[in-house]
Amino acid sequence: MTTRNPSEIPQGTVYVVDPSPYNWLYVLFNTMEELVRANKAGRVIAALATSAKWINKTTLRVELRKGVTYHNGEEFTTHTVRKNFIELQKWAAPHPPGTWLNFPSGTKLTVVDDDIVEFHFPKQDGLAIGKMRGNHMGNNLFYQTIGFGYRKLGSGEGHW
Amino acid sequence: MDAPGPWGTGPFILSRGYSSIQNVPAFINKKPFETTWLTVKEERTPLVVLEANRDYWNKKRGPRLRSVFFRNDLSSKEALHLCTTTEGQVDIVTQVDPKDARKVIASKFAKLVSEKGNQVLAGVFNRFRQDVDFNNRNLRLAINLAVNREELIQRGFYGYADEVAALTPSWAVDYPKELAARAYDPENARSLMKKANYPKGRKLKLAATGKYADIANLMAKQIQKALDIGVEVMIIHEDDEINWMKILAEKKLVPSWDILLANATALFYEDTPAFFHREFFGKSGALRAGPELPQFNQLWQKMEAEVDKRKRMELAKEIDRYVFKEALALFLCVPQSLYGVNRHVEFQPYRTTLELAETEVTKEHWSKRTYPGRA
Repeated sequence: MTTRNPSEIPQGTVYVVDPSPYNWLYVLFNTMEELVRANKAGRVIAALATSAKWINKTTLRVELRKGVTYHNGEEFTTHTVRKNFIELQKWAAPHPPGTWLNFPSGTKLTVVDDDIVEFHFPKQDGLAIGKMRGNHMGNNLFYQTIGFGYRKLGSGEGHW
Repeated sequence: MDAPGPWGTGPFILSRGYSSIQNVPAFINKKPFETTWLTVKEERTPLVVLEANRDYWNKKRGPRLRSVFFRNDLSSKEALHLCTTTEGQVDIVTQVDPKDARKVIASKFAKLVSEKGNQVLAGVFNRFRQDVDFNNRNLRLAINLAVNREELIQRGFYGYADEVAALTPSWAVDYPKELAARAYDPENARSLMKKANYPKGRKLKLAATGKYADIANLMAKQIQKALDIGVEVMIIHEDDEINWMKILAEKKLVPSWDILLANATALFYEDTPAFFHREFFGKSGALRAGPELPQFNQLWQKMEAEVDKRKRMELAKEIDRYVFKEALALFLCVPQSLYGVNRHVEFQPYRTTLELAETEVTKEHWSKRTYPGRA
């Protein structure tokens, strides 16, 4: 007979051995988040976004979750999303699975207000919401210090 | 990530160590620029420690564990041994080989957890070859009918794999329900082979990485028996895997194999063709071994551009129906994800990722028990 932890206080330690070549990504997914994530069945669900709606065929309006803070106390805001979008768009091939996960070249992001951003795509991109899983939302400190390979290799490509 | 730090908002804080990869590019197209990355090196510290983020915004989700230690100082074999014979050393081992499942089931310390996998396994037909025509549907279909998937799953994966009609598995949101995996049919396979004018006496070259060596050998026997042709199995040496994959992705040279066993990985089980079908057959597909397929490209472009989710789902189904009808690959199965888990860990697997926010331990777990002399 086992008993699950009824309190909200994290308890216990586990040792994990994960030989998967995706371990780097799993460490990332456990510590850094994106606007969307996968649920247990593999469906796309909201994470740092609360909703993502197409307001026309090429404009995606994303409402952000309020009251989210980074591990260092920094607040998650529309400006954080903009910063992360700019960092991602600097690179030609910023995703290990390939360039098909890129937002199309020419994509722009505008901050509408404190809670909403809009992505403007140069052409229709039905996969855009799922692609947001590849835009990991690091804080300012992350980009000021290590970035995705920035400090080590001076590039956000080829190293994650 | 190259260093620990308070970088994210996630359920855990990366407090010690890191896990990262070094990749090399494989250039698929110049215009539009299309590339993929091949991992040449993993860089992991011996321990990677995640501590609970007690201010995590999604309390319903977790985190329920105080800390997670990724141990990178053990081989898979050592890890499985420790998980199944002791406590307090290894609580979760991922990627358990189906061969070892029984060992976990028999353990007093661990249990086996299986979940639907996120990698589809299929044989890539080398449509670039000049001496045999894999652009001929009869030939592709003949080989599809010459493989006994049920036996492959039972003997090759010890039952821990799921049949798939084409590439979209039945649990994906965009699975076309009417499709079923092709049954083993040696008689029809032989007749189609005849129609395809497969050169007499020519051995079929089946290639695989070491990971799928047993599967390749089993399939070779099945094809040999069903089609009455010789089958040569080529196992790619670990040191050469990157080169082989680069040759395939870049498509400048013609690979020497006829069929390559390969897998593609899904981040989601919706828009499934983005992860599987595009990778095997698309313009940007690293596993496409042959000229572009105009009809496939047309279907893909429609799906990719469709912003209405319901319509996109229907287009995704169309793609799976098309590749099934054309037998564009040797469709096989989706191996399950197997985990060895300490019996006092309530592990909550995800189909397309390894996330531990909801996982917890019971009061009987070694990390919560009170021992003499321990506060």
